[in-house]
Amino acid sequence: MADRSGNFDVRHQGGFTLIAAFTFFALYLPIAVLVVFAFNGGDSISDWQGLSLHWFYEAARDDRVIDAAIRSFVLAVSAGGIATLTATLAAIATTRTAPYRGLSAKYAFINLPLMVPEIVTGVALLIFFSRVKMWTGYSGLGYLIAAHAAFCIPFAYLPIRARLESMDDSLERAAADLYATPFRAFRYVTLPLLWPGVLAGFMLAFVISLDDVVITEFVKSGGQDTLPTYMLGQIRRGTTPAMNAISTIFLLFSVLAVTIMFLVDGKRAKAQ
Amino acid sequence: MAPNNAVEIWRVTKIYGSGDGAVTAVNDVTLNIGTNEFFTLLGPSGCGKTSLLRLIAGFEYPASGDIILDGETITATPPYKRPINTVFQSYALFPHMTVAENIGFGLKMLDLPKAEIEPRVAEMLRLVRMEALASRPVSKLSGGQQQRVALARALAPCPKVLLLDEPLSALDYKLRKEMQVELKRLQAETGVTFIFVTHDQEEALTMSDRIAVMSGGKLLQVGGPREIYNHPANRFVASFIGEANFLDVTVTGETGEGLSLALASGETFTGPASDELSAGAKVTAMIRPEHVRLQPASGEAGGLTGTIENIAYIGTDTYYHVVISQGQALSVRLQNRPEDGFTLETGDRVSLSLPVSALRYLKD
Amino acid sequence: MSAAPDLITLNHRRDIRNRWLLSLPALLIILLAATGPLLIVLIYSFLTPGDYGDVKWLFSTDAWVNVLFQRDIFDDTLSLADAHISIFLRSINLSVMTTIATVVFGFPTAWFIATRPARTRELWLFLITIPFWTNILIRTFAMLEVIRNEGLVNMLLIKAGIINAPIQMLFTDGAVLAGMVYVYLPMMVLPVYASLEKLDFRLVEAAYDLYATPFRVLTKVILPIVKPGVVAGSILVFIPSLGAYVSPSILGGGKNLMIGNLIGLQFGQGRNWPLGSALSISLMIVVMIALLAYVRYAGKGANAHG
Repeated sequence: MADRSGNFDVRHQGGFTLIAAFTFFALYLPIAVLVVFAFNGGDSISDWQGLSLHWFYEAARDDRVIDAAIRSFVLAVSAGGIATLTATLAAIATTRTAPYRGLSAKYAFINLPLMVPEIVTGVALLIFFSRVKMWTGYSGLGYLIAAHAAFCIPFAYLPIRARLESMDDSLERAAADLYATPFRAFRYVTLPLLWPGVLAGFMLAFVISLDDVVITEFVKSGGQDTLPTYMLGQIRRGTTPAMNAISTIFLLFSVLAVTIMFLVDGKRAKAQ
Repeated sequence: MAPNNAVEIWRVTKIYGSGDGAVTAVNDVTLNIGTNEFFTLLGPSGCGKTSLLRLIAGFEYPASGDIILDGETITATPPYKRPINTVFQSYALFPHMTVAENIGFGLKMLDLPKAEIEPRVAEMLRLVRMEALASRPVSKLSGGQQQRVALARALAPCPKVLLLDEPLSALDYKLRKEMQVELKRLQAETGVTFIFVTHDQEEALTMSDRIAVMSGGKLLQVGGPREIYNHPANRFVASFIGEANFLDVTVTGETGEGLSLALASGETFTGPASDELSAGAKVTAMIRPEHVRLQPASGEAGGLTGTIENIAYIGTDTYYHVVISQGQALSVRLQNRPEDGFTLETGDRVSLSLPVSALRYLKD
Repeated sequence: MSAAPDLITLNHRRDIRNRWLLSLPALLIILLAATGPLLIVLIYSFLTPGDYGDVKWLFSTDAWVNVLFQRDIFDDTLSLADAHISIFLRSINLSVMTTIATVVFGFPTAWFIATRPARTRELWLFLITIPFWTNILIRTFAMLEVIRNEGLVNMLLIKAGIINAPIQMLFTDGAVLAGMVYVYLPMMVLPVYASLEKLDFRLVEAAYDLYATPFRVLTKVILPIVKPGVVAGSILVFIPSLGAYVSPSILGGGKNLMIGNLIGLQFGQGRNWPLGSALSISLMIVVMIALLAYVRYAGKGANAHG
């Protein structure tokens, strides 16, 4: 432990590095296998038969895949947008204020969707929306958008609230002192400074919506498959490497979104 | 009287919280601040000086009382409608704007045309000597530069009153001294009324036309620096501003020079005359350490004598802690001069004399 | 006197009204599309199943009886519903094991990240975050690819000559466990890392200085300090594990159900919405007990650290 060349390392714990190495390896191995076999030439998902983009073409030719992908994207953009907008308003209403009755209850309520198992929310919405569908006759994408917006709000709320709380509140006071009305103080001072938080919130909400399987599975009407629910159905029936190709593209999107979020967040850390 | 007062504070009280947890931050304060005055609110932290400043700025509303600006009641006016600007303790510069954008912000919010804003910003940059840094982001400025930008930003809209909330506390000693001079210059050049908050008594004495000493939300004394130092209204003011020796004495009678005073241990000395005190009265007498005279004990009768218990050398001066009797000690501050013929050691007997003109009687 | 007291109250009231208005859209969406419908689930659990799904509006406690008991169709006697009870026990058992496994792998990983130099730490953290934001379905699918009979593990073992025929790993409880550990591991690493990051290593130095061995430093100093992070991570892993739906339905096959699948079945082939509702409420109750235990622990911890 304390060899003569180095110093005694208080950060060393026997075996921890080995376990961590295994963890990272185990975390990425399945994903790597998945991606590699997306480029397999043959129709096997275990035997390597040469490099090919065949399965990407196959997936792109399938109307159901394209249809589901477009629906997923539209859903994630609209639900993420709604969640970000409402979460921003809520974050403003729950920060930089003298504590008032109902503030902590409000905070708990916004985070409540995180506490309920997805399957329970899924069946609850199945029951509720099936009633609403009967009353209104409407069976469009609105139900999915509402459901996704609801569970995205706590995720969007998190970085926006954190950003507001770390912001020096004397800046808004300075704006008011310099003749800015409350609206103008928000427009010229709070919002420009809040922007990275809002962007991070939207990216989070977008990814969360894009990833959802369980709630979507129960809320969707016939013919409203998103990419994940379409994939779930396919995987249950047995798979072709086309699934690997779709997953690879999907992965790329997630990694991209997380990278953007990380960069925005990193910028904030450096600015402070 | 009104035209000469920039700000009138009339019986203002501010209470935070409610019920058992309520704290009276400002307690029935009445105060007039003159036009073009450099006025300082001085007191320890938590004394209510910052609360009073926030009430004047409009960030808080008083529970009772009124605030009047140039004869106009502004008690209920929101901050963005008061022609009063603030230099914040943390400067509160907008991090997403350049130096010039920060300085021009107030003018922009007042909807002035660009043609007016630009020359005014340039003028302000010149005033605080920051012309070269106009387009720099404020995050790239040093503490002293940020301070100047904060000043220029607050002065740009030509406020009637400038509020300064401990603006120098974040600067190091040397820069603080420079900025003190700079602030005095700016006040003289702009003619704006400055209300300055600090807990640093030396800073207050150096810079102010008048000082208001606060403690526990109450106003204790208002006056010029000399008046406050030489004639403190009470024991708190005397000990907060400068150093002070307090002697509990009993008036034993009158002499030609004034009153004859006796310590509990029986030693007597002479204090100034007073109409309010007669024989038998108990009172606290105050004297500053630098006013006490000290000699090696010569054996002559009369006056006070004591023993040096402790000596602290601070370069320009030396402090002597002299015990007169049980429970009664005096701090004496003597200037170190090369021609002084004596050196004193711990344990030496010394005789002390307290000039009558330097003694004050204090209420508690 | 001035009207100042009214001014304060007035401003305060207006401020609060504005704040409620601002938060209203978010609260409304959550109420309508997340938490409000839970009440309807409660109501449905006391109704009679409809013939083709949905319910008949007849009060009945059958659904709740059916959660734990089954009625014999011939003599109408009640006996314990072994299938349901075993699914509940399997779910709890698997969730506890998942939580333990994520601590065993997650703690050293978080420690590893927290002890990296500041610059590379960001990168390691990023590597943990990527799977966290990657679709659960894709990650579960990836796991399926690896452990299926023709998958990578069996293939390698056969090629290496260790086994002749593939080992059946898929569609076992072990597969479900592996899938859940795989999927929920980042949920453990992140909060543990957050508390390790704040750990003052001078305390560790002090412990070594006072004759503690590395193992004792870990158990007597480090673990007690970062316990809140481990407990928070455990809650974050345990609750979604308990309600897991994707992992058991892909890796567990038809036989190794968990509560989530059992509930899902009642709204699909089972066509017994009241039973599904009663099972959902039961799951909520277990989750709530876990959360309450956590809140009590967290509350106590906060007090202790004053």
